Parts: sequence; structure tokens; C-alpha cells
Amino acid sequence: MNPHDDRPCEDQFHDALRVYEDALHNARSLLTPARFERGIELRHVKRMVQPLVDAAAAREPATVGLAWVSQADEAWAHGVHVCLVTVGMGHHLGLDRGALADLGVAALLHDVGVKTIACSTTLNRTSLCAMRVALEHHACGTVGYPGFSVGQKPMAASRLVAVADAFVSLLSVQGERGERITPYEALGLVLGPVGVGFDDVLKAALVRTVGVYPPGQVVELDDHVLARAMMPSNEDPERPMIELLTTPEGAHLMPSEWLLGPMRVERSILRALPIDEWPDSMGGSVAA
Amino acid sequence: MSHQEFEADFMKRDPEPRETVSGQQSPAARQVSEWFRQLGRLVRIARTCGPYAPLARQARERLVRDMLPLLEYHSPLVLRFSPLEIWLQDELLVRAQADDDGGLSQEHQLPFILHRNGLRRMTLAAETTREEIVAIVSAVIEITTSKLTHEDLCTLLWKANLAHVHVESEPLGLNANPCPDALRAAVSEQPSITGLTGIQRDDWLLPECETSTAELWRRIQVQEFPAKADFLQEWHAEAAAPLAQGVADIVQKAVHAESSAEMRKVLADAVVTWFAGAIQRCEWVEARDAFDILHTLDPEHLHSYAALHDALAGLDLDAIASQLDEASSEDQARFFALVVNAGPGALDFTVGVLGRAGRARLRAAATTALSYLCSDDPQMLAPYLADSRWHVVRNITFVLGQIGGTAVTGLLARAARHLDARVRRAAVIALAQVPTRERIPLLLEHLDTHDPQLLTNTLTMLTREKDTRVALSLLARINANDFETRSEVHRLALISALEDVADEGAVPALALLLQKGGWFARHTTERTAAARLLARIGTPAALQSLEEGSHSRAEAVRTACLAALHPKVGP
Repeated sequence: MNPHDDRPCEDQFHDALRVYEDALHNARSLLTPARFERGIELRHVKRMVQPLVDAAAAREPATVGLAWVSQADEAWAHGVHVCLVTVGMGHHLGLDRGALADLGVAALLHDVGVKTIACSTTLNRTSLCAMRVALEHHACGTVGYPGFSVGQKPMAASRLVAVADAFVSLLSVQGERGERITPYEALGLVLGPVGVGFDDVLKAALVRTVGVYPPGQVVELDDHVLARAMMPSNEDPERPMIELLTTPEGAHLMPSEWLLGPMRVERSILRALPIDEWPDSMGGSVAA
Repeated sequence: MSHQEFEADFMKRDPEPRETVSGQQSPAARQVSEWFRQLGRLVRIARTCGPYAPLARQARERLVRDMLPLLEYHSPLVLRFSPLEIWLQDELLVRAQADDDGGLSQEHQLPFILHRNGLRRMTLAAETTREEIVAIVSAVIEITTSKLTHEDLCTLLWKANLAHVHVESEPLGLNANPCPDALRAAVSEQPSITGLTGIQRDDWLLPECETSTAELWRRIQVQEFPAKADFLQEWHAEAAAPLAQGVADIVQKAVHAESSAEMRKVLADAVVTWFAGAIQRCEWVEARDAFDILHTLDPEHLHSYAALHDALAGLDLDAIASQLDEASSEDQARFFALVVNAGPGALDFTVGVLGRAGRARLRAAATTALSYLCSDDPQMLAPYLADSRWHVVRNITFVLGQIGGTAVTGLLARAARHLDARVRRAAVIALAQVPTRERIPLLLEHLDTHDPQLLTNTLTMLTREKDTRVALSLLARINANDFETRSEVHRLALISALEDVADEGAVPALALLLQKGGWFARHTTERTAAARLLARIGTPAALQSLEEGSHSRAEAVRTACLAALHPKVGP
């Protein structure tokens, strides 16, 4: 959400959403097994990442798409989600456009594997970064890669992608416990027990990218209105752009009535709701 | 927007481009057209001398300087790019032109190269800065001087973050975007979708989190900014590290994680692409680094041979040869040391450079490299003897001569029968390096040639040592009925050669030559030479022939024999 942009919040949100959708579409076209077999053009992948970088720079981060992360995500969609979080983090850390593009490519391909990247691309700084991230991102944090010795510190890009990957994976982790994790809890796990080995600066960058209440999280405002966080604010990670789901009286609005906009100045978030308290339409069990 | 939609929209905005001949162009079009002509010239210079050569720098500086007044008077400049043309709004600026040989050189392919790189339209505003023009020109030079650049033009321009230049590139998507709902549904489709599937995502341990996320954030926030500076410092240090260091590191880690032959092969193949890219950019030090790492992965080059061959086959040899022609001796030496070390996989490539070399210095270096490359197995050079370019076959023949020995005899025999006399001449000279018994039959085939230079070369080779076969062959030709039809130069050459090789075995034939003509014998150079040769051989049989000749009824025979038996001693 860009406070210096005169356009209505909805326009900003929809622009960001369009960037996300384009990224999904392009990833789906580019990252097919057939393309990997005959060699992918990293230049195309990089061009795919460029709008994500531009959106992050324009403070219309495509991280809005995180609201659609699910347990059944295909690997290419997971790659896009990690990519947009990584690019956002890199932007908040002050990396330049070229570095962000390389980082985005590495994030997009982080689960593809070193061998696949090595086989299907020409070796240059971009693919080297992608290979290193693919190899090293498992070695960050508490989960160590079996082949690594303790003394080998992963490169900065790998650590960065590892944090983004941890967060996105927690959003989509399967199993009974996994299905009950909200975006807010997923972020808490990364900032807390899961992210013990992560750099604090990267955890902070993650919060600045997705907000304290990540997209998709249902929250209760201090006037007891239920809302869904849709887009993080660059000014204050604790005050996202929200979509109002209920009236102050507690009446649930129809989806067509949901109101999108920034939080009013006098309002604050009382709490993030656990999944049990989410309205049915949000994937929760509470009747609307 | 799909590709088709974009193209349709592209044409709709400029429905009927108006082609104007040079004389009817607007001042803006004329000047911008000239600017593109200069850009083409810069491309040629950069390809020949390298993008950072002083001449290229000067030309680049001039281009940047020339664009600023154009923008001042004619902005905004709306440039459109098609595969064959560049347009300023509706006026044609540049059209791809064939060279004299029918091909398209890079500077004449500018529209195609820019279009292929995804560039469709570029609008330069009046406020466009000098730095932005430098970025545009540099990007064009980067993509035109090398096929294997790290980036395409659109990415280079995007990286430059041009505030006053609007670039429209070809949309990336190959198919029309599905509607958002369908797309979001596809995100979680089952594996039937043609997406990147079958990859195991991480299984995360899920401990309970006692502290609220908001509280954790507040704790982390305190240390955020000091740590950010440290992180950025670390990031920039990593980014500034040489590529070779990064590759060596990843290779070590990857092999450590999985030391299978497959992993080594995959990494070796990847390093080969880097090696080829460095060669394409004429970055010899980087190429050597790549090669060193390749050597650690595949010391015998057994696994990387095919990859190396394929990668080098795809390079733009014209650009490399042009730069090598202008390169210093040290750079040339670095390059050829690399290809020699690369082994047989670099053979095609080296011959390619040899075929395109414009200067003798480069050709000499290339032939030397080939001699080293093929010294153990000269048969590797056999395919190149069938090359359609005579000069390539000639140089390969020279290489065979440098290698020498029995192994090259068969190949030189092929070269010696080549249609082009220049190749045959080189083959004859090269035959000096094969054993005498093998070379003489091949050389004798050329005694009937009408090419004076080839005959001279052949005779020079044949007369290196005395050999009855050579003498008899020469005599057979001298005694042949058509000998008189040969030019005097040929006749003298054959007779002179005979003087060097004739021995006792040639006496009967020389005696016949001496007596040739009977009653009607005339004074001829051959007769005089035959008499002189018999005198020089000096054996009883030879002297007997002369003695008999000195009593011949034919005056010409008698005179020749007496002159040979009693040569006049000079003052």
C-alpha cells in the first residue's frame, strides 16, 4: 500500500493482484518439465520476475497473492509464492534491481534442485545464485542439510530464501496440525521456534514484507469487526489494508459487500483469529 | 496480453507505416537514421576490437553526444522495431541489408537483433539524460557483440531503470492469460497439469509457539537496522566476489553433498557452458578459471567432451575471430593455450577460428594450436580436408606437415590430389615431413603438372637425396614424346633435377637421351645436360657412353660428348 499514491486503495490492490496473477501464469508456462528438459532460458525467468520487483518498488507488493496459498499448491505456485516474499524482503533490505531479479529467479527455482538447474541453464551469476540457493536453503535454520558441515555458512541469498520458504511452507504445510495454522501463526513460528537459526534482520524483513498480519489472516478489530488482512502497509506492519467481513454489530457481510481499504486511524487490531474462529467462507468453522 | 494480441495492437497503433525514401525524410528521421548508422558502425568496431577498446569508447562517446541535441529538437522520439526495420513513428530509419556476400553482418542485422531481444517500441523523452543514453548504447553493444550474454536487451534496459525512456517489450506469456479464478484454481490442480510437478516440498516440524507474533516482531524490530547494514555489507561482498570463486564453492559443496558420477557430469556440463560463454565474450582469464574448475571435475574430459564440443559449436565464431585478429600476442597465446588444454572437444572450434582468421599471425597461432591438439591422432584432421574453403584445407595441410610422420602420409596424399593448386603446393611442401619411402611415390605424381611452382616444389622435395626411382621417373619424362611440348622452364627444371639425383642406374637412359635423334640429332639442352650428367656420374659405363658419343656421326651428339669429357676451365 503506497501512501503517496493518489489512486484508490482498491486500484492499488488490484494492480498488485494482477502482477501476482501474471507471475502465476508465466510460472505455469515457463516451469514445465518439458522446458526443463530442453533447457530453460533464465532470461525469460528473469523477465518474469521483473514485474514483481517493480511492484515491490512501487509499494504494491504482489505478496497479496499469499492470501491464496493453500496446502494443495503445485510446486511452481509454491515457487512463485516464495519468490514474491523473497523479492519483497530483498526490497526492504535495500537490494538493487539487478540483485532482486537474480534473487527472485533463485527463489522461484529454489526447490527445483541443483542438478536440474545445472542441466537446464547456462552457468552465469544468475544461475549460480539459483544453484547455491537450491543447494543451501535447506542448510539454514534448525533443519540442516545432511551433506553440510557445521562450519559452512550458507550465502546471504540462500539464508534469505530459506526464511521466505519457511514462511510459505508453513502456510501450506499438510497434515492435521498444518491445516490449522493461520498466516499469523505461521509468521510467529518463523519468528520464533522454527526460525531459531535465521538472521534477525531477515525475520524483520519478512515482517516488513508480509506484515504482522499476513495477507489472508482474519483479524478482529478493536470495535469487534472481523476483517481479513489483504495487503501489508509499508508504513506500519501492524496496520495492513483490510477487507471488512462483518459489521460492528457482528453481522456477516456477503462477499460482494466486503469492503477493501486501509484501517481507519482510530482503529487497531485487537487480535488475530485462530482458524477455528474464521468465518466459513474464509476456511474456518464458524458459521457466517 | 498475449503475443498475438500485442502484435495486433502494435500494428493498430501505427496502421500504415509510411516508408519514405531518403530524400523525403523529415529532418528528425534523417538525423536519427544517421545516428543508427553510427550505432551500426560502433557495433562493427566493438565486434572487431572489443567493446572496451579505445576506438569503441570514442565511437560510443560520440553517439551519446550526438543523441542529446536530437532529443532537444525532436523529442519525444518514438522508435518502433520490427524484425527487418526500425521506424521513427511512421518513417523508416533502418532496413536490414545484405552484405556483398549475401549474408547479414551484425551491424546490418540491428533491427532483427533488437526485435529478437524482445524490444518493440522505445520512447525517449526530452528529459532523457546522458546516463540513460549511455545505458541504452551499452546494452545494445553488449547484446550485439556476444551471443552468450548474461542478459537480454529488455533486462539490461530494465536494470538501468530508465526514468525518461519508456520501453515496450514483447509480452512474456506464450498463451493468453486465463481468467484469475481459473488461474487460482490451477494453482492447486492435481498433477495432471503441465506445471512443475513431482517435487517434494519440505516437511516442517511444527512446534507450538508460546509468544504472540506481534510480540516477537517487537523484539526483533529493536535490532533491525544495525543488523541490516551488516547484512548488506555481507551481500555486497558476496556479489563482488569473482564468479570463479562462487562456482568453485558450489562445486565443492554439491560434490560434498552428493559425490555421484552423475552430479559430477551435471556440474561439468554446467561449467562447460560458462567456459563457452567466457570464450564468446573473449574473457580469457575467466575462461581459464572455468577450465580449471572443469578439469577438477573431469580431469580426462571424458564426460565433458560432447558438452564441450556442442557448446563451442554454438559460438559466434566471426565475433571471436575478429577480436582475436586484433588481440595482443599474449591474449592470443592465452586463447590457444585454452583450446589446446580443452582437447579434441575444441577441435572444430579451433578450425573455425582458423578459417575466419584475417591475419597471418592468428592463422600461425591457430595452426600451431592444431598441431598440438592433433599430434597424437592426426586422423582427427581428416574431415577438414573436405572443407569447401581452399585456405582452410591448405592450413590443415600445413598442420599435417607440422605433425609429420607416417600417420599423416595418407592425409597428405589426399591433400596432394586436391583440386586447388594452392593446396597441392602446400601438400608437396608438407610431404617433406614424412619418411622418404612414403613421400617419393606421392611426389612423383606431380612431375607431370603444368603448374611451375608446384613442379619446382616437387623437384625440390625429390632431389633432397639420390634415388634411382626419381632419376628414372625424370628420365622417363625427359624421354617421353611430349617432352618437347613442355615449356622451356619445365624442361630445364626436370633436367636440372636429374643432375641432383642421377646415379649409375640412370646411365642407360641417359645414353639413350644422348643419342636421341640419330642422324638428325640437333643441339638441345637435354642432350647437353645428359652428356654433362654422364660425365658427372663418371662410372666406367657412363664414360663409355660418352666415349662412344664422341665418335658419333651426328655432330650435335659428338659436340655434347666432347664438351662433357673436356670441359673448358674458366679464367
